Amino acid sequence: MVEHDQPQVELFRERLEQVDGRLLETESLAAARAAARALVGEATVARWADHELDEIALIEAPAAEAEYSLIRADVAVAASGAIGFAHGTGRGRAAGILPPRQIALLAQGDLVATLEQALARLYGSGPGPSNVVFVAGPSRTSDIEQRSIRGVHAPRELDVIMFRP
Amino acid sequence: MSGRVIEPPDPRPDPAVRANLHRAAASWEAGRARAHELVDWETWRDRAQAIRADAVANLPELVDRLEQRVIEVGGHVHRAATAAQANAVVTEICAAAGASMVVKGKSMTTEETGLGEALAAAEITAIETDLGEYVVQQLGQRPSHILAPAVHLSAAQIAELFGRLAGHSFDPDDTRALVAYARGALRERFLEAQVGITGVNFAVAESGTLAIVESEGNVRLCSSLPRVHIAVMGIEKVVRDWAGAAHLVGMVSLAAHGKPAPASTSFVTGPARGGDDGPGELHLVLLDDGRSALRGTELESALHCIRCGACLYACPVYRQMGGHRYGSVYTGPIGAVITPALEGSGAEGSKLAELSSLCGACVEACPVKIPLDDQLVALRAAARERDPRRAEAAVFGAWSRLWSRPGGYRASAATSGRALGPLWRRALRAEPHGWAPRAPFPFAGWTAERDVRLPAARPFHRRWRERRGG
Repeated sequence: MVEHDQPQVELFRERLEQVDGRLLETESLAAARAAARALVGEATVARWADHELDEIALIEAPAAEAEYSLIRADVAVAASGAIGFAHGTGRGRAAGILPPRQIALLAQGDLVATLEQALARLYGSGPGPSNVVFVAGPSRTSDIEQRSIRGVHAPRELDVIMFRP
Repeated sequence: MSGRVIEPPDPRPDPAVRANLHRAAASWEAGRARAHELVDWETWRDRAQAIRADAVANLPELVDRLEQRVIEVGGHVHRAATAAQANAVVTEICAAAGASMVVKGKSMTTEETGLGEALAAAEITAIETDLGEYVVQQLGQRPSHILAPAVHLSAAQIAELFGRLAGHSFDPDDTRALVAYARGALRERFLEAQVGITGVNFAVAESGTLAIVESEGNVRLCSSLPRVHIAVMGIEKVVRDWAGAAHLVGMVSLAAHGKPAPASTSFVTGPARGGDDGPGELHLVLLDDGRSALRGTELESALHCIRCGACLYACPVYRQMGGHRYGSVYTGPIGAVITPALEGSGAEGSKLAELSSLCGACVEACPVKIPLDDQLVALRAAARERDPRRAEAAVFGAWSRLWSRPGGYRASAATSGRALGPLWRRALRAEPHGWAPRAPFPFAGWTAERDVRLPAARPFHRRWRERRGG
């Protein structure tokens, strides 16, 4: 199963790196959490309430002041390198966008080929979440003489930490 | 009169912006090459065209469904037949929210309605939050490109502006510092604003979801942090279903930047629910203002436009003139079509259709295959019907009859170079074989908007025959 998915993972990595994001593959949720802990170190963190994100941050801070945004991606798209996540209870919008750096945990099983498949997963038959955002790499602008600069209003660094299964 | 036409077009090259535009066009060309490697471009175009054609063909039904779904998920829907109605409803919502300052994401639809001025008249300050849009707003200008509002400006001009605003100087080569300044200045506004206003790229009729794409994150902030989110869209932005919206989100990004996805795409389905810290109130303003009237006409497919900006970069006229000299909100080939089209039979904006060489580069670039060149010709024909130029038509008619026969062509081509050349050259004091900026009477009017090439001393067909040894 894992080997069968590997080309998709490689495509996702390639596309994510093309838009200045980074992918770290880990063998388990525990390993992903350890990797996130190592990245964050003693920096301040604004996090979502998902239990997978417990005990990663040493110091939590309000979204407007935190150095890191720590979130859980619900889905990812291999064709574009984008991750998708739904806001809602315990998953604040400010915590997902205001800090300058972002770490997103992603289960490999949530990686799909296309945006259409990702949307079908998130919305199913009901009205679905009221707000879903897909980000492909850090925020960027080319408004000044076409020079590409990372990090305008949303994070300028994005680390996606993927875990199996 | 609507806000779409600001002043008459000024069809002259603008040397000050040309270098900036050429840099931008080169970057777009590189993106186009990437897009063609990433996907089977023609298959993607065909599908994108089909999705948009279906939406516009079934517009009333799909807009009704969208309205119903948005209401079902807790949003408010306002239909506006005119720009003035759209501005009035947005102003009312802002006033009801007690807002004296609102943050805005980049939206051509609100540029079209002149929302900023309408809010200012009600003493509500609208802060543009897209970096390029913020720059042009602070300079008291308007956007010159539908995706890259400040594409006409150099880094030095932006550094000078920010230096004035910040009270200390910026190095134009330190782009990072310029961006950091804008981020800091706007962050405070996001945190204090009561109302956020955005456009909409695609609205999914089956779910009532608004898809909004961007690069910078400012649209996410506008639609997340304030208590009230107002989204303003032209009714033609509706699409039938999720599959269509997903395809177009990818297509708009490929066509604009050659990237498989926008840096950020927000899918908004009603106001925030449960413990979400997003806006508790969502208003969708549906603007018609001339759109419905285009259905069933030869200009209907102009409504398929997904506002990717590709036809602007592809256009040799736009690259020379820049956006501002069009004098309209929508610029470039699509602007030259959609502006007079939406204005209807009024003469307002009809001169825009002249701003094209009809080379067809825009048609090749268009991700939804709008026949912009045919539409420009149709608009020119309509303008001539309203305002016939009899003398011009008679001259072209005679010329056409003369050159329809080989004998007439050869005789006139052989004599015109010898007979007319010296006359024109003397009258014009132009370089031999050069382009003349002004023809003598009675042709002076015709050259007011174009240069004329002097006739060759020996016609081409004769030189060709000699070259082949005939």
